[in-house]
Amino acid sequence: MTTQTTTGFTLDSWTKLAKLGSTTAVSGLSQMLNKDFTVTALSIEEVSFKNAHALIGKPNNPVIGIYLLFTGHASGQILLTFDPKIAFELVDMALGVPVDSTTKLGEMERSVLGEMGNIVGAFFLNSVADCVGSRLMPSPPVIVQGPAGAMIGAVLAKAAQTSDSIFVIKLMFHSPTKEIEGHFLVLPSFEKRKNVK
Amino acid sequence: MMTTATIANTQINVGMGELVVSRDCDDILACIGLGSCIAMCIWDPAAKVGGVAHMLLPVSRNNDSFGSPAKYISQGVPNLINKMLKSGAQLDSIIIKMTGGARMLNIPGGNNILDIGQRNITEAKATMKRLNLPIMAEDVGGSYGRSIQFSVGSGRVLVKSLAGRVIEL
Amino acid sequence: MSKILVVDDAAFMRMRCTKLLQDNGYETLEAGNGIEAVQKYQQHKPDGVLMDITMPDMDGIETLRKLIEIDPAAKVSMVTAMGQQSLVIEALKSGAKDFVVKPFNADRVLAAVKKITA
Repeated sequence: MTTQTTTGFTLDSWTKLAKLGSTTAVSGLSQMLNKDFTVTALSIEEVSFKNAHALIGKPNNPVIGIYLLFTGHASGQILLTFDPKIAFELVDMALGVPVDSTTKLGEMERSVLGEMGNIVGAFFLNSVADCVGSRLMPSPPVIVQGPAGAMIGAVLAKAAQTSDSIFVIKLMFHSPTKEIEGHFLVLPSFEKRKNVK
Repeated sequence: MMTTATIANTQINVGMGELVVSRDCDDILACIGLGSCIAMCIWDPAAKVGGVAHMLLPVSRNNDSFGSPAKYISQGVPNLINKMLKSGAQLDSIIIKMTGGARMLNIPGGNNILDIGQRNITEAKATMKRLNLPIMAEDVGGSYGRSIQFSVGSGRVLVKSLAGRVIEL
Repeated sequence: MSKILVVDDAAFMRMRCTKLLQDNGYETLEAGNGIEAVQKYQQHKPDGVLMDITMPDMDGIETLRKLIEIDPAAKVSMVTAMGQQSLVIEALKSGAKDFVVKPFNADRVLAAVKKITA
């Protein structure tokens, strides 16, 4: 029995890959919605539970999140979040309907947001995977609504289950023409697992 | 003329993995944005001591605690009770209320048997049973986040969820 | 008139795809997952299939293999956000006739349908 790190990436390589991945991810969103989104901030840092609640804004703020997992050469979680008003606006844009048409999330609206998470997540993973010549597969997305703190808490709890330290790649982006901004988080797991031979 | 006394309540936010015990009746212990985590609220009406632990996961994999007293339910609950007892609470007079344990992240076609919220609820109940302490009131599960405010003075726990629902435990 | 089966777990993508195809004179069928896709394929024998990769339960690559197993002449094009090189190669090796990378581009999707039904 040997112990080995199951993730193919070190923190150092994630740091190097995050920048390209993030730019590609945001370009995916731009292409899907035909708008120019740009990265406003990118960081990769270790998460302390004490301050984690405010990772995507005030813990009590309602947000709409698109959440997915990835597996393959490395594994982890991806979360894309928006203020509900902005999420509705993005749905309007994607469906080509007038602004303020969307006021709640039915099956169609959820699938629009799901597709958005799918594109942004896949573009991030594609760029990282192709850089190192490996494969990273996303799960289907799930739409989550709730206070920002509750969402982050659930994501961190999941990360803490398998990782000894939790790092988060945090990307903020916005559209220069409209007041649209969002958060994109990637939490790779740095799991050490016993490998039974 | 009647005058109304105004009480200057102090809200203390209890972050993930933290636990807080207070003997100040004006204190409000709060957990803002509680998802799959469990908030265990313990109150001793006689000693007027209240405490909250905001816990993330059921049990530790390798006995680490990330330096947090209440990351794991298996450690957080005993730690909270010990701290309560040190602050003057008595085991036979404490009242226990619990909230949280929501299912937040449900991947379609994924293995949701491993849902953390549900496992947290199960572990919290099992821990209390092991300690032979009854849970007096609870608001757990669901798929929505909660925020709680626990008054050390009255022992009341206000639970707000996003749908605008407010209940009192 | 060619009959095209659109397989995607996102209702929004199925809607966009079927509208585009219908506007261009194709008959369409929809499936929201791999299992449904296999059933509909056997039932309706479509002339071509547009297939997403990221889907619950049975992913698009697995579904592609099932379809080729049932009908070695099945004409499938992947339509996915997953543009990773190793995946493109695997899909083509498994019998896909084309590979369209999302986001959705009408011209590119139509070209793929023309190619597989030619």
